[in-house]
Amino acid sequence: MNYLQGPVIGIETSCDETSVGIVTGKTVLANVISSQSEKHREWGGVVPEAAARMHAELFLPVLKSALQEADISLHDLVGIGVTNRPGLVGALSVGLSGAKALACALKIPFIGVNHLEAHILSPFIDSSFTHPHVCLLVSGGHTELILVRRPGEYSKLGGTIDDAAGEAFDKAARTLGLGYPGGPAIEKAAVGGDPDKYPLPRGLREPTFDFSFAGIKTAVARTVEQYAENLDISSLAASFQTAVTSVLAERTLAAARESAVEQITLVGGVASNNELRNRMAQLASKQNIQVTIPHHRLCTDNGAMIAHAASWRIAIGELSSLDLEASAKSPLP
Amino acid sequence: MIAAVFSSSSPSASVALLRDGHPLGFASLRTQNNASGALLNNFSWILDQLDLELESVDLFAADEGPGSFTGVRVGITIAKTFGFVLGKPVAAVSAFDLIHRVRAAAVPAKKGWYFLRTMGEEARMVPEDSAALADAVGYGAAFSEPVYPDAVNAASFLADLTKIEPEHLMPKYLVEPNITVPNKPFGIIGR
Repeated sequence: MNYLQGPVIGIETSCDETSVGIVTGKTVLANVISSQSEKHREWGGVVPEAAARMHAELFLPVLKSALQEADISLHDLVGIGVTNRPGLVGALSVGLSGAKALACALKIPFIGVNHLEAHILSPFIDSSFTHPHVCLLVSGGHTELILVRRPGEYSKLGGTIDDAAGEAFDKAARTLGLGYPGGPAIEKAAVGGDPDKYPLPRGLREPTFDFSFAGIKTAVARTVEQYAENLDISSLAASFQTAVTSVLAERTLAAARESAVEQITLVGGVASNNELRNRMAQLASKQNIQVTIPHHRLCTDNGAMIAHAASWRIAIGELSSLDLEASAKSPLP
Repeated sequence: MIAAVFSSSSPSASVALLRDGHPLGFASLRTQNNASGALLNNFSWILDQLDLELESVDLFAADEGPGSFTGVRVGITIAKTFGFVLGKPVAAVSAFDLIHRVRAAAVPAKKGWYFLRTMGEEARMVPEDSAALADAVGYGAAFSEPVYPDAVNAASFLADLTKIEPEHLMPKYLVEPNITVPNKPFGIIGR
């Protein structure tokens, strides 16, 4: 991948993380992430208007911290990237307005970045590998299997037909009374639990590259009802985690075999789940398939991945105008 | 002193460039989804027409609401970002004042309700059939001749604005976000 020469800033406000990252090519100079999850915990999920209000409050402090961490001045920047799709429109609008004002004031190019593409390209930041490969993008809002022929050239192989995996974690955690966000809560509760104690369904059967997590989630709720006070929460959390991560890992490996590729990437917030990382690595090693997973800080929503994608897109000659809008939904480029 | 004023709390996005309380240039545009584009394109156009550089602006002011939450945040974020980058102060302007400084002014609140501000009083919510709206100017279904907040109206009270640091410029929310806490149908007894 070719990159813009010099520091590029990336702004991410698509959901409940206010983040600003600064990269020079593949080198991350700063990646400041201010998560709102503590605030949203009491509501059991992300409240769009509350998220947008917090972005407006945090945007400048986070921007300042990123410049400080990178030890550069605003005037050293050569480009700006901002998530403008997909996401919560009210939340996206804060970052987009800030990015446009920065572009006007600094007189440097800016580009709207597809959040999903930024995740897909994030493994390139700290790894080197060839193409094509299969990418599992798995987060609170998305669960997609994508064949990445090269940066910018993607084919969707499959995706969830109901809940995203991260959403299923959130809902299962709420059912178990474990709090929000569900991924870390389930992972923590599952420690020491017996993953085979409560057999749970696996959703759709192969051959398919699609996923369904609604049945697993409902089975968790029924198990809670059935066992009531005798429920072993740790084991049910472990059983749920195993059910979801095994489907994700097995289907990704099947997609890699079908696509005749030897490399897999695992990106998005749920890629931080250690059970998923380990399961994917173990299954892949048996089939001589290489797995690349970005550092935890690059798995969650973050500004560095936006800056990285922007640096590449601007380098190949793409720019956005001030007319760029925020969009709730958007397919991959 | 040159001031730039941005307003996007209503369907009309307006921007004005003022010098010592006199308009140098102003523009407004009806917009649905792209207030930031409307404000910044018009602002750039005004600067170009006047052959002025952005650096010549001494103060960036923005409509703090009430009005569209998203729209207010767009104008506020633009003003505070300009202030931060250029090291200039910023200021908040009431949407009521940008509609009319003296007359009673009203903007839509939740469905069937309006925020009404009469001079010398705090804003209050009134139903759309309130007689108090008859003497007010504003916008929304209750007004057959809508008057939107207009940035150029800040010219008459620019000297009264309080200059603050960019980080402190925030929307003025008159209501809390509408939050429905999800049910916990399978919450565990004793937890």
